[in-house]
Amino acid sequence: MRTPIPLTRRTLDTALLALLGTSAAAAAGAALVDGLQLLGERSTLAATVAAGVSAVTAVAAVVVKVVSARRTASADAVWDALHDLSAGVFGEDDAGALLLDEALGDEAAAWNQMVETRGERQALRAEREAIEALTKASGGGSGGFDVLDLLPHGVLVLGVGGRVEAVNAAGAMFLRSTREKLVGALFSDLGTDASVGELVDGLRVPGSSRRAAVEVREAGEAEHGPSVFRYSARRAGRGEAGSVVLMIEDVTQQRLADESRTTLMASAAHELRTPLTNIRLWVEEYVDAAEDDESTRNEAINVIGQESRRLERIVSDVLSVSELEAGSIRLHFGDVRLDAMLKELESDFRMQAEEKSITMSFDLPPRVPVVQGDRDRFELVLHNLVGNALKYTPVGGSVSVSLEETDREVVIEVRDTGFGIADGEQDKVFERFYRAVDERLDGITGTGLGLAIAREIVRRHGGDITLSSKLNEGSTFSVRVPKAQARAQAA
Amino acid sequence: MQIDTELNGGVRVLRPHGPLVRAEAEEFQTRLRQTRGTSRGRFVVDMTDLHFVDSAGLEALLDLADEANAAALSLKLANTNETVREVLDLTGMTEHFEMFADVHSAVRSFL
Repeated sequence: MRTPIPLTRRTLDTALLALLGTSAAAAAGAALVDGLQLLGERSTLAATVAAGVSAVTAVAAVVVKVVSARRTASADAVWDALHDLSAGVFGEDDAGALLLDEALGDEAAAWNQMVETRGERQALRAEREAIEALTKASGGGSGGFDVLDLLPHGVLVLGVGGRVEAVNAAGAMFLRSTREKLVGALFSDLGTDASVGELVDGLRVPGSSRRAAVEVREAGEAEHGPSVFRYSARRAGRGEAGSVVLMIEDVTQQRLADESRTTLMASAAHELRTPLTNIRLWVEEYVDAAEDDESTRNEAINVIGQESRRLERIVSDVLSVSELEAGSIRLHFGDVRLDAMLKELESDFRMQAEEKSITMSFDLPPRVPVVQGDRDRFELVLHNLVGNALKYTPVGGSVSVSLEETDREVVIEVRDTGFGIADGEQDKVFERFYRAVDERLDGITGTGLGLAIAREIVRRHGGDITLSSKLNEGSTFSVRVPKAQARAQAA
Repeated sequence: MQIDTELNGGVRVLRPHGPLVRAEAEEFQTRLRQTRGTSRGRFVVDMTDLHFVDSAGLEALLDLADEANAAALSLKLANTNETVREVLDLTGMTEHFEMFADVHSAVRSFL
């Protein structure tokens, strides 16, 4: 017979840690738990829980109880029952050890059932919840709807005189208030947009239509950007005496999606035009050049080649965005030879750097690791980063790419001496369609997609991109890919 | 507890780092409640860097889920790792949350 292990929150947590699977992680976790303070005396209960995965189900049942006991009014009864339980010593594998005296009440009975079968317990809980919902619905009062609380749209009933008669939970949340404060309040005092007030008043005008809707863009807090709500109102009775039912829908995401589609179309069209114009001009140049004017013809071919590659990238950017949108992006993992990729990158961008007299340097260790990843997508990431660095660095600056290998990850840094990004904008540059506000960017085109795509791709590789930047001094983008997916290149 | 946030369209994405235990659980709960208020419920939790949940963490998650359910919303979790999912499964709590394979599908669920 195994010695019983006292069941404390600590035992629970240790057992949960056992779920971590690997012993190393569990050891680390256990050390962590050791460092944490235990709860008070009431949690020092004893039971037959042997540490280890086999006990996890029993422990889990206790966790559920601990968690749900807190929710019930009779929590104290359960604690007392558990105290009684702690007084005994129980045998291993004795399911009865976890059972309580049924005389302790419904809670104890519920607990026993829970211990016996998990499935049965879940069914019971569902039943109890259903009964609660039904009794509440018939009880009414407090201006709540209960049944309408199951609706994700806000619903308000406005009575005669424009007072709120009832509001559901979603409605209270959209109006950023509580039901208690809302019920009985004058609708005009709630601070909704004037157009909503007009909408409601308009319905009370004799001879008006019975229903109307209005969409309002609310500024909201700066960090969350605007919210768009659609208010639709319907008159329930006749004329001024009737009450009005107001429904509030949050359509922010739908409107933003519409806007981003439009922006994508516009900026993609704009981005495509530049290389197309260049190609057309250089084709003309080629045709016009004398047959023996080798240098002009060569230059034309070069530019046409370069511009078509640029077209290709814009198209793949746009495709990546639509794949990301649809959630259908698939990475094809394989060996990514970073040294070859970085060399290619250098030759791709050399001309562009020379045009702006930018010093471009690649600082690579003698042994560059091979990473597991999607070659094409990874190339897109580095292309976007180096492309940006060159784009936003003024004439005469420098761009450097370095690679470092640590125990856990491979870090590729792209550093430039460009415009830099203001503190407040550093997070935003990774958002789609966001372009930093800086007058120096006038005339530099961009879709605002490159960094959003790059970060998404790196994250799908289990890594991340971070940015450190100072306005007017330059920016450094660091791509980190975990080493678990990397292995040293065979020498 | 470090919680990175970013805006994805109109949806706030919260990415907590480290294990969700004890004091962190309380802070986590406070931060999420704030975000629910300011974002009017448009937020998701990216669980990528949340590797472990203890009993206090479970309570915090369950409280938040229950509050959301009370307003016919749900607590949307993305990228939940194997361990955390197993804990939620074993404790029969999975049904309280809306789980997504990645942040994008979670964000798209607001459409």
